Amino acid sequence: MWTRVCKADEVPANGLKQVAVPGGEPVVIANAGEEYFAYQAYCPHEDVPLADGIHDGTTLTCLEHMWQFDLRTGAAKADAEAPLCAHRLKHEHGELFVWVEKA
Amino acid sequence: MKIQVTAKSHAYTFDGEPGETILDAGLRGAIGLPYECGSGTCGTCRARLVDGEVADAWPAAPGRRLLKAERRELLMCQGVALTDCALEVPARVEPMAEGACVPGRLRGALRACTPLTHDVVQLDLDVDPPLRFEAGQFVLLGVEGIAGRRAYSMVNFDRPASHLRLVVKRKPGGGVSEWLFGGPVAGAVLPLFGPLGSAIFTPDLARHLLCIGGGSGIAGLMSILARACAVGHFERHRGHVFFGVRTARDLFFLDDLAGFRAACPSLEITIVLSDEPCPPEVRAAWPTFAFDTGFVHEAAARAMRGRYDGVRAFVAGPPPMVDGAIRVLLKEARLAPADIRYDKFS
Repeated sequence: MWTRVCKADEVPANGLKQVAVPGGEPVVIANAGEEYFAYQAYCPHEDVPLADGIHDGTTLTCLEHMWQFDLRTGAAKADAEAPLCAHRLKHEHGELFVWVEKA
Repeated sequence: MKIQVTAKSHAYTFDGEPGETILDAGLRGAIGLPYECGSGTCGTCRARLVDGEVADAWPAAPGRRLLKAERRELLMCQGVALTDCALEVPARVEPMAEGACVPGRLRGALRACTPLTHDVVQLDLDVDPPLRFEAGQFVLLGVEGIAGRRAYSMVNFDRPASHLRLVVKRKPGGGVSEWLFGGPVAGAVLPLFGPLGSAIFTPDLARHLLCIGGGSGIAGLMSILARACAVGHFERHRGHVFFGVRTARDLFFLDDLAGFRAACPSLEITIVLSDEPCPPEVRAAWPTFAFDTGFVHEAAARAMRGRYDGVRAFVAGPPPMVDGAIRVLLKEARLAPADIRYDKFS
């Protein structure tokens, strides 16, 4: 089901924000211009919060060991050995929702 | 003790001696186990104990924050095998490349401990056997009776080196640092392990060099500059050095940096003070340096804009400075991760 996680303007412009998901694991929201993406909150490498990383509109980088992911798909790039788990996200009336599978 | 490590790629078996950490034992056997600091802070050498008994050399190690006790996870840099044991490492592990400087144990006789500033000292150690290392690497230094070991970069470069020069910043409450600053220590013989670290410069690197150092982080960059100058690297490539400290009284190694500049006139060296403008007498004393005020990574960003083509960056210093520099190098400079070299051991 769609679960509200935060207001869109709570995510720093062209930045990252970790949010709690009622009934699910936390996710990291990335903003790039008009677009938003939602991924697993922690890097698959060493469980470091991805919200402490950076993105340049194309590539999301975890600063702990420079694992990089495609911002739009979560696919592993360069040295990363695993992709990010992507969450469906919708943006309605300034609110962001992610899809949580019912347990 | 037989230690078996199963990684994503291969499985390895090696011998650990009594009291020796699992990381030391594996690295000594030229097995490229994952690590960064080797000294209990970063958590990179995390492994899961599948079988056997392991003692923890430093139960308070900060790197333990990433561990899950219920999964029997441990830090290989602190774990000492008490019995034969089997571990799983959640990483790819490859044998070290041929020609790699395989680390080992050695003893360092502390010849001198010389103040460089009010809170930084230089250690000169005679080592036996001589150490073969790459410019930019570090050693772990222990002191008998003090838990944990600390990582210090070599300042000098020789191959092999029978003398190592290290830089230590005083850290109130830090065991090793308090011991060094606490009284006469010359003559002490200290256990060392190394060389370690992957933020290295080798002469086959066909890149311009950008060195960004904060405080005692300049140490390993000095070794890189020494080797690069010695092999004529700056006759073919540009070199940019940014050395940041708080105030003029925190500066050191300026004579050595000026020596590199005299030997390699194309080398650009910028001194950056974060807490005050550079006093005129310092500027006058070092006419071949540029000066700036602010955070060192921001000064580097200002000076390097548009000049990042073909650059490899080496970054060392306090963690906020290293993180700031990496952000600049990824976002503004758009350097590939392989061209941003740093070791996290603070």
